[in-house]
Amino acid sequence: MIIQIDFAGDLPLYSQLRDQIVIGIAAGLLKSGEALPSVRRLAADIGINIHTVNKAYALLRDEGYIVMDRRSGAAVAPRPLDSRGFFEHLADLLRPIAAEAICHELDAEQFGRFCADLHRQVRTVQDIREGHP
Amino acid sequence: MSALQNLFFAINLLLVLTMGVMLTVLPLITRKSLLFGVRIPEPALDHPEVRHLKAIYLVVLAVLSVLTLAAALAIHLVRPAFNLIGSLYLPWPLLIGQFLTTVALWRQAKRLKARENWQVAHLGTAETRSSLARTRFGGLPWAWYLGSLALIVLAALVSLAVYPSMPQTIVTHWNAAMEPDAWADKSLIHVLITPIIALVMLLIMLLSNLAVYRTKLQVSLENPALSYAQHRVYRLWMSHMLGFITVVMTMMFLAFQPMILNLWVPSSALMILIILVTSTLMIVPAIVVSVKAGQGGTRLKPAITDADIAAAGLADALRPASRSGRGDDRFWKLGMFYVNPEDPALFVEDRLGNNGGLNYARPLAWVLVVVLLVLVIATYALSTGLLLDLV
Repeated sequence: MIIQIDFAGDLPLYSQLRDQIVIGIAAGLLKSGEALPSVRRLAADIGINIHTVNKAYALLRDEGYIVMDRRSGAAVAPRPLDSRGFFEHLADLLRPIAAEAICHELDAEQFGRFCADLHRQVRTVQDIREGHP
Repeated sequence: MSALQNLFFAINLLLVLTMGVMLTVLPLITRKSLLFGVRIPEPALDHPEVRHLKAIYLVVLAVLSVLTLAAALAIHLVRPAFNLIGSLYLPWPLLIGQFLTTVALWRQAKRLKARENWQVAHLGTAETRSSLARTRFGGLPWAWYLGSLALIVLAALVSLAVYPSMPQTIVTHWNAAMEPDAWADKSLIHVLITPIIALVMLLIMLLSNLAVYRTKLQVSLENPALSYAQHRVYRLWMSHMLGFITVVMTMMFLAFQPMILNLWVPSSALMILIILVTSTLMIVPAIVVSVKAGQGGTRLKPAITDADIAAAGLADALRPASRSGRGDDRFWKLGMFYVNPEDPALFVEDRLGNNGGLNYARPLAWVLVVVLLVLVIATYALSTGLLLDLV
Protein backbone atom coordinates (compact mmCIF):
# COMPACT_ATOMS: atom_id res chain seq x y z
CA MET A 1 0.00 0.00 0.00
CA ILE A 2 1.06 3.59 -0.51
CA ILE A 3 1.74 5.49 2.68
CA GLN A 4 1.72 9.26 2.55
CA ILE A 5 2.73 11.44 5.47
CA ASP A 6 1.82 15.12 5.40
CA PHE A 7 4.58 17.15 7.03
CA ALA A 8 2.20 20.11 7.19
CA GLY A 9 -0.60 18.00 8.72
CA ASP A 10 -2.25 18.50 12.13
CA LEU A 11 -1.52 15.06 13.59
CA PRO A 12 1.96 14.01 14.74
CA LEU A 13 3.86 12.02 12.10
CA TYR A 14 3.86 8.74 14.07
CA SER A 15 0.10 8.84 14.53
CA GLN A 16 -0.47 9.63 10.83
CA LEU A 17 1.62 6.54 10.02
CA ARG A 18 -0.26 4.42 12.58
CA ASP A 19 -3.66 5.56 11.23
CA GLN A 20 -2.72 4.83 7.63
CA ILE A 21 -1.55 1.31 8.40
CA VAL A 22 -4.79 0.58 10.30
CA ILE A 23 -6.83 1.97 7.38
CA GLY A 24 -4.67 -0.08 4.97
CA ILE A 25 -5.45 -3.24 6.91
CA ALA A 26 -9.18 -2.47 7.07
CA ALA A 27 -9.33 -1.59 3.36
CA GLY A 28 -7.51 -4.78 2.37
CA LEU A 29 -4.52 -2.88 1.01
CA LEU A 30 -2.44 -4.80 3.54
CA LYS A 31 -3.36 -8.49 3.75
CA SER A 32 -3.41 -10.43 6.98
CA GLY A 33 0.07 -11.89 7.51
CA GLU A 34 1.67 -9.61 4.91
CA ALA A 35 5.24 -8.59 5.72
CA LEU A 36 5.93 -4.93 6.42
CA PRO A 37 9.16 -3.11 5.58
CA SER A 38 11.88 -2.73 8.18
CA VAL A 39 11.76 0.35 10.39
CA ARG A 40 14.95 1.72 8.83
CA ARG A 41 13.88 1.24 5.20
CA LEU A 42 10.41 2.70 5.76
CA ALA A 43 11.86 5.70 7.60
CA ALA A 44 14.38 6.29 4.79
CA ASP A 45 11.72 5.98 2.06
CA ILE A 46 9.26 8.32 3.75
CA GLY A 47 12.04 10.64 4.88
CA ILE A 48 11.27 10.68 8.60
CA ASN A 49 13.22 9.84 11.73
CA ILE A 50 13.67 6.15 12.55
CA HIS A 51 12.23 6.76 16.04
CA THR A 52 8.99 8.01 14.47
CA VAL A 53 8.48 4.73 12.60
CA ASN A 54 9.56 2.77 15.68
CA LYS A 55 6.93 4.56 17.74
CA ALA A 56 4.18 3.86 15.18
CA TYR A 57 5.16 0.17 14.89
CA ALA A 58 5.31 -0.22 18.70
CA LEU A 59 1.87 1.36 19.02
CA LEU A 60 0.43 -0.90 16.30
CA ARG A 61 1.96 -3.94 18.01
CA ASP A 62 0.52 -2.97 21.39
CA GLU A 63 -2.89 -2.49 19.77
CA GLY A 64 -2.61 -5.91 18.14
CA TYR A 65 -2.66 -4.81 14.47
CA ILE A 66 0.83 -6.02 13.69
CA VAL A 67 3.17 -8.63 15.07
CA MET A 68 6.88 -8.10 15.39
CA ASP A 69 9.52 -10.77 15.29
CA ARG A 70 13.19 -10.16 15.89
CA ARG A 71 14.19 -12.27 12.92
CA SER A 72 11.45 -11.94 10.29
CA GLY A 73 10.54 -8.32 11.09
CA ALA A 74 7.07 -6.80 11.25
CA ALA A 75 3.95 -8.28 9.66
CA VAL A 76 0.20 -7.64 9.67
CA ALA A 77 -1.36 -9.64 12.51
CA PRO A 78 -3.48 -12.65 11.53
CA ARG A 79 -7.25 -12.35 11.99
CA PRO A 80 -9.35 -12.48 14.03
CA LEU A 81 -7.93 -9.80 16.28
CA ASP A 82 -8.37 -9.99 20.02
CA SER A 83 -11.38 -7.72 20.54
CA ARG A 84 -11.59 -7.81 24.34
CA GLY A 85 -11.87 -4.28 25.64
CA PHE A 86 -12.36 -2.90 22.12
CA PHE A 87 -15.76 -1.34 22.87
CA GLU A 88 -14.39 0.57 25.83
CA HIS A 89 -11.52 1.77 23.64
CA LEU A 90 -13.91 2.78 20.83
CA ALA A 91 -16.18 4.59 23.29
CA ASP A 92 -13.22 6.55 24.65
CA LEU A 93 -12.23 7.56 21.11
CA LEU A 94 -15.72 8.43 19.92
CA ARG A 95 -17.07 10.26 22.99
CA PRO A 96 -15.24 13.57 22.39
CA ILE A 97 -16.07 13.31 18.68
CA ALA A 98 -19.75 12.75 19.46
CA ALA A 99 -19.55 15.77 21.73
CA GLU A 100 -18.05 17.85 18.91
CA ALA A 101 -20.87 16.66 16.64
CA ILE A 102 -23.42 17.81 19.21
CA CYS A 103 -21.72 21.21 19.46
CA HIS A 104 -22.11 21.46 15.69
CA GLU A 105 -25.83 20.65 15.91
CA LEU A 106 -25.68 17.12 14.45
CA ASP A 107 -28.44 14.85 15.76
CA ALA A 108 -27.92 11.18 16.65
CA GLU A 109 -29.22 9.95 13.32
CA GLN A 110 -26.98 12.26 11.25
CA PHE A 111 -23.97 11.33 13.35
CA GLY A 112 -24.78 7.63 12.96
CA ARG A 113 -25.22 7.99 9.20
CA PHE A 114 -21.91 9.82 8.94
CA CYS A 115 -20.10 7.02 10.79
CA ALA A 116 -21.80 4.38 8.64
CA ASP A 117 -20.76 6.20 5.43
CA LEU A 118 -17.13 6.26 6.52
CA HIS A 119 -17.35 2.56 7.40
CA ARG A 120 -18.75 1.86 3.93
CA GLN A 121 -16.04 4.00 2.26
CA VAL A 122 -13.27 1.88 3.74
CA ARG A 123 -15.15 -1.34 2.89
CA THR A 124 -15.59 -0.27 -0.74
CA VAL A 125 -11.83 -0.21 -1.26
CA GLN A 126 -11.61 -3.70 0.18
CA ASP A 127 -14.36 -4.92 -2.17
CA ILE A 128 -12.62 -3.43 -5.21
CA ARG A 129 -9.32 -4.97 -4.14
CA GLU A 130 -10.99 -8.36 -3.95
CA GLY A 131 -12.64 -7.92 -7.35
CA HIS A 132 -16.33 -7.77 -6.43
CA PRO A 133 -17.45 -4.14 -6.33
CA MET B 1 48.47 13.88 -38.81
CA SER B 2 48.48 10.19 -38.09
CA ALA B 3 45.48 7.92 -38.30
CA LEU B 4 45.77 7.48 -34.56
CA GLN B 5 45.34 11.20 -33.95
CA ASN B 6 42.34 11.28 -36.28
CA LEU B 7 40.86 8.47 -34.24
CA PHE B 8 41.47 10.32 -30.95
CA PHE B 9 39.84 13.40 -32.47
CA ALA B 10 36.82 11.32 -33.49
CA ILE B 11 36.60 9.96 -29.95
CA ASN B 12 36.72 13.50 -28.54
CA LEU B 13 33.92 14.62 -30.87
CA LEU B 14 31.82 11.63 -29.87
CA LEU B 15 32.52 12.24 -26.18
CA VAL B 16 31.63 15.93 -26.26
CA LEU B 17 28.58 15.29 -28.43
CA THR B 18 27.26 12.55 -26.13
CA MET B 19 27.82 14.62 -23.00
CA GLY B 20 26.37 17.72 -24.63
CA VAL B 21 23.21 15.90 -25.69
CA MET B 22 22.81 14.16 -22.31
CA LEU B 23 23.17 17.42 -20.38
CA THR B 24 20.96 19.36 -22.78
CA VAL B 25 18.05 16.93 -22.52
CA LEU B 26 18.23 16.68 -18.70
CA PRO B 27 15.17 18.92 -18.09
CA LEU B 28 13.21 16.70 -20.48
CA ILE B 29 13.94 13.50 -18.53
CA THR B 30 13.54 14.98 -15.03
CA ARG B 31 10.32 14.48 -13.11
CA LYS B 32 7.70 16.86 -14.41
CA SER B 33 6.94 18.52 -11.10
CA LEU B 34 10.54 19.71 -10.72
CA LEU B 35 11.76 22.89 -12.40
CA PHE B 36 15.55 23.19 -11.94
CA GLY B 37 15.22 21.67 -8.48
CA VAL B 38 12.15 23.64 -7.44
CA ARG B 39 8.98 21.68 -6.75
CA ILE B 40 6.10 23.16 -8.76
CA PRO B 41 2.51 21.96 -9.15
CA GLU B 42 2.15 19.84 -12.32
CA PRO B 43 -0.51 22.14 -13.86
CA ALA B 44 2.05 25.00 -13.73
CA LEU B 45 4.12 23.22 -16.39
CA ASP B 46 2.22 25.02 -19.15
CA HIS B 47 2.98 28.43 -17.67
CA PRO B 48 4.82 30.51 -20.34
CA GLU B 49 7.56 31.49 -17.88
CA VAL B 50 8.29 27.81 -17.13
CA ARG B 51 8.66 27.11 -20.83
CA HIS B 52 10.79 30.21 -21.18
CA LEU B 53 13.24 29.03 -18.46
CA LYS B 54 13.50 25.60 -20.07
CA ALA B 55 14.13 27.22 -23.46
CA ILE B 56 16.95 29.33 -21.99
CA TYR B 57 18.54 26.16 -20.62
CA LEU B 58 18.30 24.37 -23.97
CA VAL B 59 19.85 27.28 -25.86
CA VAL B 60 22.69 27.86 -23.34
CA LEU B 61 23.58 24.17 -23.23
CA ALA B 62 23.43 23.82 -27.02
CA VAL B 63 25.79 26.82 -27.38
CA LEU B 64 28.12 25.38 -24.70
CA SER B 65 28.20 22.05 -26.50
CA VAL B 66 29.01 23.68 -29.84
CA LEU B 67 31.78 25.77 -28.22
CA THR B 68 33.27 22.65 -26.64
CA LEU B 69 33.15 20.87 -30.00
CA ALA B 70 34.98 23.88 -31.47
CA ALA B 71 37.59 23.57 -28.72
CA ALA B 72 38.08 19.89 -29.60
CA LEU B 73 38.54 20.89 -33.24
CA ALA B 74 41.00 23.64 -32.29
CA ILE B 75 43.11 21.16 -30.29
CA HIS B 76 43.12 18.77 -33.24
CA LEU B 77 44.15 21.48 -35.72
CA VAL B 78 46.75 23.26 -33.56
CA ARG B 79 48.24 20.56 -31.30
CA PRO B 80 46.98 17.14 -32.47
CA ALA B 81 49.33 15.43 -29.99
CA PHE B 82 47.14 16.80 -27.19
CA ASN B 83 43.96 15.09 -28.45
CA LEU B 84 44.14 12.28 -25.90
CA ILE B 85 44.70 14.67 -22.98
CA GLY B 86 41.80 16.68 -24.39
CA SER B 87 39.48 13.73 -23.71
CA LEU B 88 40.23 14.18 -20.02
CA TYR B 89 39.62 17.91 -19.84
CA LEU B 90 37.05 18.71 -22.56
CA PRO B 91 34.07 17.56 -20.42
CA TRP B 92 34.88 20.07 -17.67
CA PRO B 93 33.81 23.36 -19.30
CA LEU B 94 30.56 21.61 -20.22
CA LEU B 95 29.96 20.31 -16.69
CA ILE B 96 30.86 23.60 -15.01
CA GLY B 97 28.78 25.59 -17.52
CA GLN B 98 25.83 23.27 -16.92
CA PHE B 99 26.19 23.68 -13.14
CA LEU B 100 26.27 27.48 -13.33
CA THR B 101 23.33 27.61 -15.76
CA THR B 102 21.29 25.33 -13.52
CA VAL B 103 22.00 27.40 -10.40
CA ALA B 104 21.04 30.62 -12.20
CA LEU B 105 17.80 29.03 -13.47
CA TRP B 106 17.07 27.53 -10.02
CA ARG B 107 17.10 31.08 -8.61
CA GLN B 108 14.75 32.20 -11.38
CA ALA B 109 12.43 29.24 -10.75
CA LYS B 110 12.39 29.96 -7.01
CA ARG B 111 11.44 33.58 -7.67
CA LEU B 112 8.76 32.51 -10.16
CA LYS B 113 7.26 30.10 -7.63
CA ALA B 114 7.13 32.84 -4.99
CA ARG B 115 5.71 35.43 -7.40
CA GLU B 116 2.97 33.14 -8.70
CA ASN B 117 2.41 31.85 -5.15
CA TRP B 118 2.45 28.25 -6.33
CA GLN B 119 1.57 25.93 -3.46
CA VAL B 120 2.55 22.29 -3.27
CA ALA B 121 2.05 19.66 -0.61
CA HIS B 122 4.99 18.49 1.46
CA LEU B 123 4.50 14.76 1.63
CA GLY B 124 6.66 11.81 2.59
CA THR B 125 5.64 8.83 0.51
CA ALA B 126 6.47 5.14 0.62
CA GLU B 127 4.99 1.99 -0.83
CA THR B 128 5.22 -0.90 1.60
CA ARG B 129 5.95 -3.52 -1.09
CA SER B 130 8.58 -1.35 -2.76
CA SER B 131 10.25 -0.67 0.59
CA LEU B 132 10.10 -4.35 1.47
CA ALA B 133 11.56 -5.47 -1.87
CA ARG B 134 14.42 -3.02 -1.52
CA THR B 135 15.31 -4.12 2.03
CA ARG B 136 16.78 -7.42 0.96
CA PHE B 137 19.55 -8.30 -1.48
CA GLY B 138 17.28 -10.70 -3.38
CA GLY B 139 16.42 -8.33 -6.23
CA LEU B 140 19.99 -7.87 -7.46
CA PRO B 141 20.95 -9.70 -10.69
CA TRP B 142 23.63 -11.84 -9.09
CA ALA B 143 24.34 -13.87 -12.27
CA TRP B 144 26.21 -10.92 -13.87
CA TYR B 145 28.34 -10.27 -10.81
CA LEU B 146 29.07 -13.92 -10.03
CA GLY B 147 29.94 -14.44 -13.72
CA SER B 148 32.41 -11.54 -13.58
CA LEU B 149 33.84 -12.85 -10.32
CA ALA B 150 34.32 -16.29 -11.89
CA LEU B 151 36.21 -14.70 -14.83
CA ILE B 152 38.44 -12.74 -12.43
CA VAL B 153 39.20 -15.78 -10.27
CA LEU B 154 39.94 -17.84 -13.40
CA ALA B 155 42.32 -15.14 -14.73
CA ALA B 156 44.09 -14.94 -11.36
CA LEU B 157 44.48 -18.74 -11.17
CA VAL B 158 45.81 -18.96 -14.74
CA SER B 159 48.24 -16.12 -14.00
CA LEU B 160 49.50 -17.89 -10.89
CA ALA B 161 49.91 -21.11 -12.87
CA VAL B 162 51.89 -19.34 -15.62
CA TYR B 163 54.00 -17.30 -13.18
CA PRO B 164 56.72 -19.93 -12.40
CA SER B 165 57.44 -20.49 -16.10
CA MET B 166 57.81 -16.77 -16.85
CA PRO B 167 61.37 -15.46 -17.41
CA GLN B 168 62.95 -13.46 -14.57
CA THR B 169 62.84 -10.25 -16.61
CA ILE B 170 59.58 -9.36 -18.32
CA VAL B 171 58.34 -6.60 -20.59
CA THR B 172 56.23 -4.09 -18.67
CA HIS B 173 55.58 -1.42 -21.28
CA TRP B 174 55.14 -1.11 -25.00
CA ASN B 175 55.34 2.00 -27.19
CA ALA B 176 52.60 3.11 -29.56
CA ALA B 177 53.88 0.69 -32.23
CA MET B 178 53.64 -2.09 -29.63
CA GLU B 179 57.43 -2.56 -29.44
CA PRO B 180 58.71 -3.33 -25.92
CA ASP B 181 60.31 -0.28 -24.31
CA ALA B 182 60.46 -1.07 -20.58
CA TRP B 183 61.44 -4.16 -18.61
CA ALA B 184 61.38 -5.20 -14.97
CA ASP B 185 61.89 -8.21 -12.70
CA LYS B 186 58.75 -10.31 -12.53
CA SER B 187 56.65 -10.01 -9.39
CA LEU B 188 53.40 -11.51 -8.17
CA ILE B 189 51.82 -8.09 -7.66
CA HIS B 190 52.58 -7.22 -11.29
CA VAL B 191 50.78 -10.26 -12.69
CA LEU B 192 47.87 -9.96 -10.24
CA ILE B 193 47.25 -6.20 -10.43
CA THR B 194 44.74 -6.45 -13.32
CA PRO B 195 42.52 -9.05 -11.60
CA ILE B 196 42.71 -6.94 -8.43
CA ILE B 197 41.65 -3.76 -10.27
CA ALA B 198 38.87 -5.73 -11.99
CA LEU B 199 37.72 -6.95 -8.57
CA VAL B 200 37.66 -3.40 -7.16
CA MET B 201 35.64 -2.24 -10.20
CA LEU B 202 33.26 -5.17 -9.67
CA LEU B 203 32.69 -4.07 -6.07
CA ILE B 204 32.12 -0.46 -7.14
CA MET B 205 29.54 -1.59 -9.73
CA LEU B 206 27.83 -3.80 -7.15
CA LEU B 207 27.66 -0.84 -4.77
CA SER B 208 26.15 1.33 -7.53
CA ASN B 209 23.55 -1.34 -8.14
CA LEU B 210 22.80 -1.44 -4.43
CA ALA B 211 22.51 2.36 -4.44
CA VAL B 212 19.91 2.11 -7.25
CA TYR B 213 17.96 -0.26 -5.02
CA ARG B 214 18.26 1.83 -1.89
CA THR B 215 17.58 5.21 -3.49
CA LYS B 216 14.63 7.10 -2.12
CA LEU B 217 12.31 8.07 -4.97
CA GLN B 218 10.96 11.46 -5.90
CA VAL B 219 7.37 10.30 -6.12
CA SER B 220 4.85 12.12 -8.31
CA LEU B 221 2.41 13.79 -5.93
CA GLU B 222 -0.33 13.44 -8.55
CA ASN B 223 0.10 9.74 -9.23
CA PRO B 224 2.27 7.90 -6.72
CA ALA B 225 1.00 4.44 -7.75
CA LEU B 226 2.39 5.03 -11.26
CA SER B 227 5.73 6.21 -9.84
CA TYR B 228 6.21 2.97 -7.91
CA ALA B 229 5.20 0.82 -10.87
CA GLN B 230 7.66 2.74 -13.06
CA HIS B 231 10.43 2.39 -10.55
CA ARG B 232 9.91 -1.38 -10.34
CA VAL B 233 10.64 -1.67 -14.09
CA TYR B 234 13.42 0.91 -13.90
CA ARG B 235 15.20 -1.00 -11.11
CA LEU B 236 15.14 -4.12 -13.23
CA TRP B 237 16.52 -2.32 -16.32
CA MET B 238 19.22 -0.52 -14.35
CA SER B 239 20.34 -3.67 -12.55
CA HIS B 240 20.77 -5.63 -15.76
CA MET B 241 22.45 -2.66 -17.45
CA LEU B 242 24.93 -2.31 -14.56
CA GLY B 243 25.46 -6.09 -14.46
CA PHE B 244 26.12 -6.20 -18.22
CA ILE B 245 28.58 -3.28 -17.98
CA THR B 246 30.38 -5.10 -15.16
CA VAL B 247 30.88 -8.18 -17.33
CA VAL B 248 32.10 -6.09 -20.30
CA MET B 249 34.44 -4.07 -18.06
CA THR B 250 35.84 -7.25 -16.51
CA MET B 251 36.46 -8.74 -19.94
CA MET B 252 38.14 -5.52 -21.08
CA PHE B 253 40.56 -5.59 -18.14
CA LEU B 254 41.27 -9.28 -18.50
CA ALA B 255 41.85 -8.96 -22.26
CA PHE B 256 45.17 -7.32 -21.39
CA GLN B 257 46.21 -10.08 -19.01
CA PRO B 258 47.93 -12.24 -21.71
CA MET B 259 49.97 -9.15 -22.58
CA ILE B 260 50.96 -8.58 -18.96
CA LEU B 261 51.96 -12.24 -18.71
CA ASN B 262 54.12 -11.71 -21.85
CA LEU B 263 52.24 -14.54 -23.56
CA TRP B 264 50.89 -12.56 -26.47
CA VAL B 265 51.13 -8.97 -27.71
CA PRO B 266 48.21 -7.63 -29.73
CA SER B 267 48.79 -5.20 -32.59
CA SER B 268 48.04 -1.58 -31.73
CA ALA B 269 45.05 -1.70 -34.09
CA LEU B 270 43.63 -4.68 -32.22
CA MET B 271 44.21 -2.93 -28.89
CA ILE B 272 42.34 0.17 -30.04
CA LEU B 273 39.59 -2.06 -31.41
CA ILE B 274 39.22 -3.82 -28.05
CA ILE B 275 39.00 -0.50 -26.21
CA LEU B 276 36.55 0.97 -28.73
CA VAL B 277 34.25 -2.06 -28.78
CA THR B 278 34.18 -2.46 -25.01
CA SER B 279 33.62 1.24 -24.34
CA THR B 280 30.80 1.31 -26.88
CA LEU B 281 29.27 -1.74 -25.19
CA MET B 282 29.46 0.11 -21.88
CA ILE B 283 28.30 3.57 -22.98
CA VAL B 284 25.46 2.70 -25.37
CA PRO B 285 23.34 0.65 -22.91
CA ALA B 286 23.81 3.35 -20.27
CA ILE B 287 22.57 6.06 -22.64
CA VAL B 288 19.72 3.95 -24.00
CA VAL B 289 18.44 3.08 -20.53
CA SER B 290 18.68 6.62 -19.16
CA VAL B 291 16.98 8.19 -22.18
CA LYS B 292 14.30 5.52 -22.65
CA ALA B 293 13.50 5.13 -18.96
CA GLY B 294 13.96 8.72 -17.81
CA GLN B 295 14.79 9.55 -14.22
CA GLY B 296 13.60 6.76 -11.95
CA GLY B 297 11.57 5.34 -14.87
CA THR B 298 9.42 8.46 -15.39
CA ARG B 299 9.26 7.89 -19.14
CA LEU B 300 8.15 4.27 -18.82
CA LYS B 301 4.59 3.16 -19.23
CA PRO B 302 4.42 0.11 -16.98
CA ALA B 303 1.38 -2.12 -16.91
CA ILE B 304 -0.74 -1.22 -13.94
CA THR B 305 -4.26 -2.59 -13.82
CA ASP B 306 -7.39 -0.46 -13.61
CA ALA B 307 -8.09 -2.12 -10.26
CA ASP B 308 -4.73 -0.85 -8.98
CA ILE B 309 -5.49 2.69 -10.13
CA ALA B 310 -9.02 2.53 -8.72
CA ALA B 311 -7.76 1.19 -5.40
CA ALA B 312 -5.00 3.81 -5.26
CA GLY B 313 -7.52 6.55 -5.97
CA LEU B 314 -9.94 5.29 -3.34
CA ALA B 315 -7.15 4.75 -0.84
CA ASP B 316 -6.14 8.33 -1.52
CA ALA B 317 -9.64 9.41 -0.55
CA LEU B 318 -9.22 7.64 2.80
CA ARG B 319 -6.39 9.99 3.76
CA PRO B 320 -6.92 13.40 5.29
CA ALA B 321 -6.56 16.11 2.64
CA SER B 322 -2.97 17.33 2.51
CA ARG B 323 -2.06 20.91 3.29
CA SER B 324 -0.39 22.97 0.62
CA GLY B 325 2.61 25.12 1.24
CA ARG B 326 6.13 25.65 0.01
CA GLY B 327 6.83 21.93 -0.17
CA ASP B 328 10.21 20.36 0.50
CA ASP B 329 12.36 22.94 -1.32
CA ARG B 330 14.14 24.01 1.86
CA PHE B 331 15.96 20.65 2.08
CA TRP B 332 17.46 21.17 -1.40
CA LYS B 333 20.40 23.55 -1.28
CA LEU B 334 20.92 25.26 -4.67
CA GLY B 335 18.09 23.03 -5.83
CA MET B 336 20.48 20.09 -6.09
CA PHE B 337 22.06 19.16 -2.75
CA TYR B 338 19.77 17.34 -0.32
CA VAL B 339 20.44 18.13 3.35
CA ASN B 340 17.88 16.67 5.76
CA PRO B 341 19.17 15.54 9.17
CA GLU B 342 15.82 13.92 10.06
CA ASP B 343 15.98 11.62 7.03
CA PRO B 344 17.94 8.37 7.51
CA ALA B 345 18.18 7.86 3.72
CA LEU B 346 21.71 8.07 2.30
CA PHE B 347 20.93 7.71 -1.41
CA VAL B 348 18.17 9.91 -2.79
CA GLU B 349 17.02 10.57 -6.30
CA ASP B 350 18.38 13.96 -7.26
CA ARG B 351 16.20 16.71 -8.67
CA LEU B 352 17.97 17.42 -11.94
CA GLY B 353 17.63 14.14 -13.77
CA ASN B 354 21.05 12.64 -12.92
CA ASN B 355 19.50 9.82 -10.86
CA GLY B 356 22.19 9.82 -8.18
CA GLY B 357 22.17 12.04 -5.13
CA LEU B 358 23.15 11.89 -1.50
CA ASN B 359 21.70 13.14 1.75
CA TYR B 360 24.55 15.43 2.80
CA ALA B 361 23.27 15.46 6.38
CA ARG B 362 24.65 11.91 6.71
CA PRO B 363 28.36 11.66 7.55
CA LEU B 364 28.70 8.65 5.22
CA ALA B 365 27.73 10.90 2.31
CA TRP B 366 30.84 13.00 2.92
CA VAL B 367 32.99 9.89 3.20
CA LEU B 368 31.70 8.83 -0.22
CA VAL B 369 32.33 12.29 -1.67
CA VAL B 370 35.91 12.33 -0.36
CA VAL B 371 36.61 8.81 -1.67
CA LEU B 372 35.17 9.79 -5.05
CA LEU B 373 37.19 13.02 -5.17
CA VAL B 374 40.43 11.17 -4.28
CA LEU B 375 39.69 8.59 -6.99
CA VAL B 376 38.96 11.25 -9.62
CA ILE B 377 42.00 13.38 -8.74
CA ALA B 378 44.30 10.33 -8.63
CA THR B 379 42.98 9.10 -12.00
CA TYR B 380 43.47 12.55 -13.50
CA ALA B 381 46.98 13.02 -12.08
CA LEU B 382 48.05 9.54 -13.23
CA SER B 383 46.58 9.69 -16.72
CA THR B 384 47.70 13.27 -17.33
CA GLY B 385 51.26 12.30 -16.36
CA LEU B 386 51.18 9.21 -18.57
CA LEU B 387 49.73 11.07 -21.54
CA LEU B 388 52.14 14.00 -21.23
CA ASP B 389 54.96 11.43 -21.43
CA LEU B 390 53.50 10.21 -24.71
CA VAL B 391 53.37 13.76 -26.08
